Amino acid sequence: MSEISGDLLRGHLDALILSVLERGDAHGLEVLNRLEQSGCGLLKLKEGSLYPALHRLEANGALKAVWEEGDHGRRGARRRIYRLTPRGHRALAKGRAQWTQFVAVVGPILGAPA
Amino acid sequence: MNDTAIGSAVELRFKVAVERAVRPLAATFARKRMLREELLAHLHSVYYDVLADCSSPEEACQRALARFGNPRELTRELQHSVPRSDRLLCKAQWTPRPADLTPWGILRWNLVFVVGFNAIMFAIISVLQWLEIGRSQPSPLYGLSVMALCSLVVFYPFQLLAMRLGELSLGQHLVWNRWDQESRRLLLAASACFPIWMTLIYWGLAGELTIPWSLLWPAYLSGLVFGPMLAVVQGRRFIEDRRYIEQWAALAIED
Repeated sequence: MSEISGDLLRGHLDALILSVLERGDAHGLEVLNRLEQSGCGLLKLKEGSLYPALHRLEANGALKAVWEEGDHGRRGARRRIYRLTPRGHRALAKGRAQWTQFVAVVGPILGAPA
Repeated sequence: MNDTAIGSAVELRFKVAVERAVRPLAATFARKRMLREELLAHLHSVYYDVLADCSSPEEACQRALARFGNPRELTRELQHSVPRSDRLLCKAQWTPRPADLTPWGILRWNLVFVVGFNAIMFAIISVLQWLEIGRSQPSPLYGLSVMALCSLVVFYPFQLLAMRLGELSLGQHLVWNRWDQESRRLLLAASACFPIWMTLIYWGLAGELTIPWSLLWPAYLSGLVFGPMLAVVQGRRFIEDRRYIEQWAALAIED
């Protein structure tokens, strides 16, 4: 199977990010890693897409970001940890409903029902 | 691979990559600062993630930068996520240059800011007071001069002292912990009330209004307590800003 990236992800990226953050708070790289693991290595997301999406979701109130306190034995600069807010949970539920509807409508047209 | 910290050459390359993405952005100083720190932390994390699989730190650095992508593309994408208010604000914002960040330079800018801010607040209060009472009050210029004088006497010597002390500690690493951030918010909120306290004091001095002492003494006390505290916090902040700007502005980001 070929990799999924760029334009194919656009439109679903926000819901994907919210979905991986539902499993727990995470910094940017961790979000990328979770997405790649969940996509069995076929989901390829660049930083150039991830961080603007995270900041957009934060501005919308779907995410709350806090700077990591203490280094927990980790090396390097402190990281920004993203957390799902109640509004983010609602946005995720909406994103899932939209996806279900999208698949139900587009799948049969393409001859590939869910 | 060994467990070494990031070398200065690798760190420099990471910072240049981050700065290439962030410097061209039309965004406020605070947002750019947040972006720099977040993206640099990202590169650090990627570097340490791949270091174990690499034969050298140089290879880990190259892999981290390759994963980071083209900074120009990142700039374009990041610009879309900058709120419109932030883009507008950055046009009006004074972004200090390293040369401006001397104690006297900062003092000059703060003097303009505080006196200007107080003047605007005082004008608003004066108009409201005039509308409410229905007769003109003593010259606002008198009140303004009292405020400016109080600001100078209470605030600036402490700020100058704080910045001088901060300069002495430039070689040390100052960390803003949670307490610092909370106290900064509290003190900035207190400074916003400064014109109101000064107006109360002015009214009390001019005898225009009979203000109970029970209301006046907290105004005097808070002005005397919060003024120096705010000065110290601001002094520290500006010293940190100076170190920060010197560090990033010096990076050559041209290809």
